[in-house]
Amino acid sequence: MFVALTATTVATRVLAAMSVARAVPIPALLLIAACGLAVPAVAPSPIGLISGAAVVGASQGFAFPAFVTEAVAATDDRGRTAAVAAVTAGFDIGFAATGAAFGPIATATSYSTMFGAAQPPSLSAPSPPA
Amino acid sequence: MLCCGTLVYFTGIGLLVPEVPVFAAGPLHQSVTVVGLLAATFSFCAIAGRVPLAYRGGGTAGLRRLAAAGALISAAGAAATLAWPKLSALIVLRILGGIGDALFMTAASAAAVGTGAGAAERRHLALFSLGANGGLLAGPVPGETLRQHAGYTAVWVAATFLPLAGIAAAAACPAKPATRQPLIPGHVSPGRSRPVPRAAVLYGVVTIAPAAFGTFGALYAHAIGQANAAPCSSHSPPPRSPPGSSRP
Repeated sequence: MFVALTATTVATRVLAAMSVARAVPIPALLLIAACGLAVPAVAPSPIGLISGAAVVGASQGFAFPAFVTEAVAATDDRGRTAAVAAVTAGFDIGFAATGAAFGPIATATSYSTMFGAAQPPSLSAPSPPA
Repeated sequence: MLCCGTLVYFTGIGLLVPEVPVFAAGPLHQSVTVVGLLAATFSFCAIAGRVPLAYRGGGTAGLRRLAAAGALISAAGAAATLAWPKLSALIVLRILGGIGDALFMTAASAAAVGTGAGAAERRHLALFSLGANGGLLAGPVPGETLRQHAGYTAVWVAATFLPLAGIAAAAACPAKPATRQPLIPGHVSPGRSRPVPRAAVLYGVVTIAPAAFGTFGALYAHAIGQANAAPCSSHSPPPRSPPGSSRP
């Protein structure tokens, strides 16, 4: 599973380096991430887990360049460091909050339910203006 | 230079990913709760370290100084563990590691952003983050190898010196912010620093997916019988999400 997550993250990051990321808008990244969470929710099997991880890795590979680019696009150079700090802090907060928020759900229900419950934030996130 | 220095720096950070939990649960006889708190300490300090940067930007320090300070702070944490391999030193290691991560990653990312424009900027940023991810992913291999063949002391030595490569990466950062106008004219006043909450919030949201897999995926795999889904040695505790996982 971790190999799948890592492999697709690195592969799509290379694609992002080749400027393919320009073709992947942020709403699509959120949708891909939600789809990755849906796979183990509806297919509780090793294949489902690995497939979901691969899909999530694909969104992550594009996400960092896309969000940092989005953040710094509206700033000058002094604001650039602040923008990058805010975006990378968003990653830390998202990571920390996921464990705190969805751990109890997994404990109370099941892991597949937890993966399903993790989708709504991605699906309901406000889309940035074009 | 920026990508190579970042790769070596994060290799030094990455080799601690499996070693800190194993050292805490093994020789130090700490509970899994303490192991988890050690991991959380890194994340909280990484967040706390970014708060002043998000509000004040690089200030007058400049990206080069910020990145070099981050590398030195991370190395100091490992050096403390080398000198005093006890739980208190591990706590210091995670605190300094989180702060160092905040400074280095933010400054180096900002420098990577500033090395081009448009597609070139995105390409440089992707290559830079590839170095960061590559180091984090490759780090556990030398970490495990060092521990098995030379013991924890060799791990702490490597964790002390490898992050110093971040100083080389810092040398590739601009000493002073260059003058560049916003890519969206009129969107922000020149010279004014401000966080960009929308992108940060969205990035936090899209992080839920890999965080869910990283935190609960291995447990889910065991629950559905995929015992070999997460590679870990027989004497290691269950795999945890990397404490240095502030890297995307």
